[in-house]
Amino acid sequence: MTDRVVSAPDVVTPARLGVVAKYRRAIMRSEALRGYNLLSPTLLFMILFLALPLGLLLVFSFWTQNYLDIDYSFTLANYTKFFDRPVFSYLLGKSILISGSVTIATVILAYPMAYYIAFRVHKHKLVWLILITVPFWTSYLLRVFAWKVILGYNGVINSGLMELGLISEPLEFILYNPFAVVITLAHAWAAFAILPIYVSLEKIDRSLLEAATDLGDTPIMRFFRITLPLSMPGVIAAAMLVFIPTVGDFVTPKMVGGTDGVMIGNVIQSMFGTSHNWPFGASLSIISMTAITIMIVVFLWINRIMRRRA
Amino acid sequence: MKRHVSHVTRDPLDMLLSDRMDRREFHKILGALGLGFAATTLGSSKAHAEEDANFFSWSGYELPEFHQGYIDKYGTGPKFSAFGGITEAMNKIRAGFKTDVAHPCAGEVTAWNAAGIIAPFDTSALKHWPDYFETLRTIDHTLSPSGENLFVPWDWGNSSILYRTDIVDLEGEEESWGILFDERYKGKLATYNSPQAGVQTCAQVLGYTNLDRLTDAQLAEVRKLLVKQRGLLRFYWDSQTEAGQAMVAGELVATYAWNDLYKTVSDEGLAVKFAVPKEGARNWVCGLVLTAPESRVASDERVYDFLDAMMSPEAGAYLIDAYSYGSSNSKAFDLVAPERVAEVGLSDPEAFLAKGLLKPIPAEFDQKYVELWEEVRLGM
Repeated sequence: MTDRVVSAPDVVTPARLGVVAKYRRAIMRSEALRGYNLLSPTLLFMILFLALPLGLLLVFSFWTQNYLDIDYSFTLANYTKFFDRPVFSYLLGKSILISGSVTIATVILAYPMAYYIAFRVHKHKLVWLILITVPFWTSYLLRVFAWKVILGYNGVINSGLMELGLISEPLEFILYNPFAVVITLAHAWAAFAILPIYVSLEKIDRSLLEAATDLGDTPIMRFFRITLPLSMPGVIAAAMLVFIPTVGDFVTPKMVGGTDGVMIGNVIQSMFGTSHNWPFGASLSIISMTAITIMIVVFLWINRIMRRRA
Repeated sequence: MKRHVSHVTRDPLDMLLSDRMDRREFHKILGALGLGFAATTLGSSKAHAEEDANFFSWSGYELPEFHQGYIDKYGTGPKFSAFGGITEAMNKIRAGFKTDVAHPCAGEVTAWNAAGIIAPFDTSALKHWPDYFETLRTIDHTLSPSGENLFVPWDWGNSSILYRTDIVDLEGEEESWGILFDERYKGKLATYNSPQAGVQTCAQVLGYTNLDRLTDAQLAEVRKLLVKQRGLLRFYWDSQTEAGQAMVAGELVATYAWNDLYKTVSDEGLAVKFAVPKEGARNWVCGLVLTAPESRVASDERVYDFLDAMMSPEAGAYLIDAYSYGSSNSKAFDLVAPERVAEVGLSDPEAFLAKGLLKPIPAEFDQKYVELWEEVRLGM
C-alpha cells in the first residue's frame, strides 16, 4: 500500500498511461487487428453502404405491403408468392438466360480484342487500352439510345438494307425483343470483359509459347493447350463481371426490350415504383441474388473440375 | 521597401513567377484568398437557404414559357424533375422525394390527400385565381373534406386514339378504343403505360360503364383482353414522344395519345386523326398540388411566385398554342388567335365538363388496377 503510493508519482507504469494509448498499444500488438485498422475506412464504408442496406433488404422481404402501409409482422408470404406463381421463376430464368447469352457473346467478342492488344501490339499499348474505353466516356443511357438508332425501324441497319434493295419493308424483329437486349448489353459491357482478359494474357510467360512451338505444337494447338488455359482466370473474371450486373439490369430491357424483353429487374423496379410493394420487391431482389450466387458457385465448381482433369 | 514595390508590377502571379514576392506580400494575398473563400461560402450558404421552387411534373412542362414570371423575378427557372406516370410520382413522393409543387390530375387528388402528401392552397394568395373558370375551381373531388382547395387546375383536354387514316380501316364502323386491340395491326400498336388509363379503356371496349369501380369478375375479363393486347403491342410508352417518333417513322398505325400529338404528327405530313371513340374519350383535368410541409424545399414566397407564373394568362396562352391543351385561365384564350382556339376545340370548358369528368378511382380499386396492369405489362 505505501509502496504504491510512493512509486506512483514518479514511475510511469503502463497502468498510468492514458486509456487511448493503452488501447493503441493493444491494437498494435495484434497483427489481425492492425490489418482491420488499416482497412477500417473501407470497412466502415462497406458496412454502412453495403452490409446495412442488404440487411435492410432482407428484413423488408419478410414484411408485407398493405396498400399504403407496411405490415411489420414476420411472414414468408412474399417467398411463397414467388414460388406459387410460375411466372416469377420464368422471368428470373429468362433474365439468367439473357445474361448468359450476353456473357458468352461479350467474352467471345472481347477475347480476340484482348489477344490482339496483348500479343500483336508492341508500341503504345496504353493508347489502345484507352481507345477501348472511349465508348464508355458517354453515358450508359446514351449508348442504349445509340443502339435504338441503329436497330430502329428507320434505323441504320434497316435504311442500309433498304438502300441496297435487299429488303422492301423495314425488319421489325431487330428491335423491341430479347435479341436487341442481348446486343445492347453485350456492347455496353465489352470493356469490362476486355480488360481482365487482357491482363491475364499479358501475364503469360512467352517462353512457354516458344517451348510449345519447339515441341511441335501448331499455332492452334498451342493456343488451346497453353494460351487459353493460362488466360482462364481472366475469362472467368470477365464472365462474372458481365453476368452478375446484367441479370438485374432494367434500363436496357425497358428501352429496347419491348413487351417480350422484360427481365426480372423490370419487375423489381415496378415493385419499388409504380406497384409500391417494397417488401415483395425486396424478396425478389434476395431471390435473384441467391440465384446468381448459386449460378456463380456452380460455374466456379465446374471450372475447378475441368482444371483438375486438365 | 516601399520604393521597391512601387517599381514593380503588383500582379500577384507576376510577382510569384518573377520571385519578387516577399513574405508580407505573400501573406496579404493569402489573407485576401481566405477572405474571398469565406465570403463565397457564406454567399452560397445564403443561396442555399433560398432554394428555387421545385416542380415535379410530366416531361414537357419544363419549358421556360410556362414559368416566365418566375424567371423574370429570380433570374433562374424552377428546379424541374419529370415523372413518367402518376402512380410512380405519388410513390416517389411518399418514399421521401422532395418537391414543392407536383402535377397530378384531378382524379388522383383524393388519393394523394389520403396518403398525406399534399396540403391545401391559400387561394387568396394566388394572383390569377379569380380569372379561373368557375367550373374548374370547384371540381368536388379536388376539395378537402373541409372544403379547402387542394388542387389548382391547370391543363385539360382529351385522351383518345391517334391513328393513321390511310391504314386503319374502320369498315364503316364508328371509331372505338377497339382500334388499340385490333389484331389486324399486330406489332404496330402502342399504348400508354398507365394502370388507370390501360385498365379503364380496356373496360370501355368490353362495354363496362362502372369504370371507377370495376368488379373482380369484370377485372378478370379485363385481364384476358389486356393479355391479348400485350401480344399486339410494339411497346408501352412512358413518354408520348416515343409514340410520336415511332408514328412518324411509320412504325405504328395507332397509339393512345393526348391532344397535342395530333399536331406533332400531322405536321410531319402523315394522314392521322385524333379519334372520337364511341365509348367516349377520356377527358382529363390536370393541375398543380402543393406538397405537404415535410416534402417542401423552397419558401412559401417562391412557391406562390412560381404558381402565379404558371397560372398567368401568358403561360396559359402558350399551353393552348404549343400543346393544344385547354388552359384553366379564362384570360389565356384572349391571347391566342381565334382560329387557333377553334382548331384546338377546347375553348368552352363548361361544355367540356358537361360531358362529365372521369370519376376518381377509390383507393382500394386503384390498387387492384395498378396490380393488374403491372402484372400484365411485365408478363407476370
